[in-house]
Amino acid sequence: MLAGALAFVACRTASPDRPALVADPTAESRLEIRRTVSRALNGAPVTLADDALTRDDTLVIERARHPSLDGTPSTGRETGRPERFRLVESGGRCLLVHEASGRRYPLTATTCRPR
Amino acid sequence: MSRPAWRMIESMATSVRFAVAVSPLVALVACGGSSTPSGSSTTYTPGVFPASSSLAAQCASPRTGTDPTTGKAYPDVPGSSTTENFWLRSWTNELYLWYKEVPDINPASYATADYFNLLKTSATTASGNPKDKFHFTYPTPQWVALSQSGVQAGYGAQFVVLASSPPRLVVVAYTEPGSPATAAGVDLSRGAQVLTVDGVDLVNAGDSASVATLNAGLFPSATGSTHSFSILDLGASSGRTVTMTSANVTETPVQNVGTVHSSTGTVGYMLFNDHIATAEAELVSAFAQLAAANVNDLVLDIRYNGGGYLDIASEVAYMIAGPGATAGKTFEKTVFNDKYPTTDPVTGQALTPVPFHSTSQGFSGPQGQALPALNLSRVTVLTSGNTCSASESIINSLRGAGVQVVQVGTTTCGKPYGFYPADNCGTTYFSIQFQGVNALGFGDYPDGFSPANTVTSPGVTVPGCSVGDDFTHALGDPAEARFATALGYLAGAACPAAAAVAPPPEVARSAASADGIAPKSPWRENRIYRR
Repeated sequence: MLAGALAFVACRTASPDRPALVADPTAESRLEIRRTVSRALNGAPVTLADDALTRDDTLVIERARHPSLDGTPSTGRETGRPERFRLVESGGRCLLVHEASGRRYPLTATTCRPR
Repeated sequence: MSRPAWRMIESMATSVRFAVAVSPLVALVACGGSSTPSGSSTTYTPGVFPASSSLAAQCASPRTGTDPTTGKAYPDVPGSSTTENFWLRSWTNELYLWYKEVPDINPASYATADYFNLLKTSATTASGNPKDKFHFTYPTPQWVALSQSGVQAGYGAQFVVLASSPPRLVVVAYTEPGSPATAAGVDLSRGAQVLTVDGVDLVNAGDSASVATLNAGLFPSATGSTHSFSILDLGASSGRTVTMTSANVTETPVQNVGTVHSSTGTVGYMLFNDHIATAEAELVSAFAQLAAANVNDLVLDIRYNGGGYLDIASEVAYMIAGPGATAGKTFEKTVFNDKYPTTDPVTGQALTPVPFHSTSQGFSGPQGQALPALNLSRVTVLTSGNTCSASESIINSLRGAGVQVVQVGTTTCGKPYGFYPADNCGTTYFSIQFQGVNALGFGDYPDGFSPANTVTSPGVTVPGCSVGDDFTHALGDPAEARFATALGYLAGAACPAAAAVAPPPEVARSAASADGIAPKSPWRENRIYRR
């Protein structure tokens, strides 16, 4: 996988990133995106909307909402920041980019179109 | 709020399981204590607290595999419930905001869940409520779960429980656009009352199986769960049956943005339900819209807003007041216990106040862009007991910056506190560690903020009117009781007769002037139905 990633990075100079959207979401593409996000975040379980990345090239991931005993959100005073991913098209390939780390994850079961 | 019966049952079962495990350890400690794998003694000496780091991850049931929060192997090593208790004792002594008010109890004497429940202050507030209302745990595998911002399984209808025991009353508070609740043929709207779930009488059913059916139907924890409901729409004389299948619904945290022309000028209104990441872009758009409309007053409806990102609350406060009132001022300063006057004990960073953010913070849009501002010297907030935490920070911070806050509704939840949730051995613990204070150093509102004429157990009183929720009108409708009262108050009218905390049944039955609990998540642990 690393070799592939390096090869891909080499192609980047000739193929700049373009913001992209998922063209025709399928069960397979949804699963691929969910698994990719989870893998990028150390394997944490992730819930995504069925239309994730179909209307916006940015995917914002935060902790699932958990209420406390009174029904209000458990923390309610979050001082952290969410994780953000961008969907890009580069050299005819569809990639998910984790903004915080800069890591790029090629998607093979997902079809992209320009945003 | 009472704990649901099923949760009490769960707690008992947990206690029994731990009690069995504890027995041999009690004997071990009686023989003179022991050393943990890291060398720290687990002999109980009153007043002596080994570093919690030397006691962490020594577990009755060590986990194996990869920790999804770190990407590394779990650090767990074999221990016991007593070693877990020793960690809790030291961790609490280090970080709990009121650690001096926690009794020092021998860790060997209790099951872990019971022991944690003892590690908090027993003091009460001026109103007689517990000083610490936010002491709880989550199973770590649930706590670490992530989601796309604003996405969770459900129907897209926010139900409000106005009466949780028979005769029960559950109504729709609001809905999410494009969700199962608003699909053609379903068309749920505010004020619709739920009469039955999967054929079970929601109002009167009392047996356990029926309660389980009600919970499962109203609060599905996963997608693809199909249930039927009998719904009594506002103004209807008989119910109708709808069927909904739960889906991953994307929340729209800012809704019903608009203006009303009154004798005082142009009044802006927005419903702000959640401080989630996607709210940032929606808030910027909403405030820009109201700025373009040249509003000279704002009614910010946060009656169902339980909080979230504090930086988004800061952005909201800035967009209300603008640079004139906020430049150089503190939005909120975080205060830990007296062991950490200058440093955040968890991050190790210097404690620096959160300013009023004048630029976007990059939650759901570009970072660093100038925020729109209404430049108001007064704002009216619509509140309820569901108004909590970061939402209360908006109120407190603006008051600290000299902006007049008018409050219409009922008393807020009273949560000027925060946590760094901590995992140990598969349980994530929530124990109050810090308090937020405004530019004036004020943050003591454990009984919430209350409109000035609140009758029963008011918290910190704020100019305005006590008004119950009005489920007979849409949110943002100038005729809705809280919004109407706000408009009248701004125009100089007197408050209507104050709403009592608990409305009489006949009032609740009319779905007007009532208040209630709006659970914000499908997690079954927090259902409030009771037999």
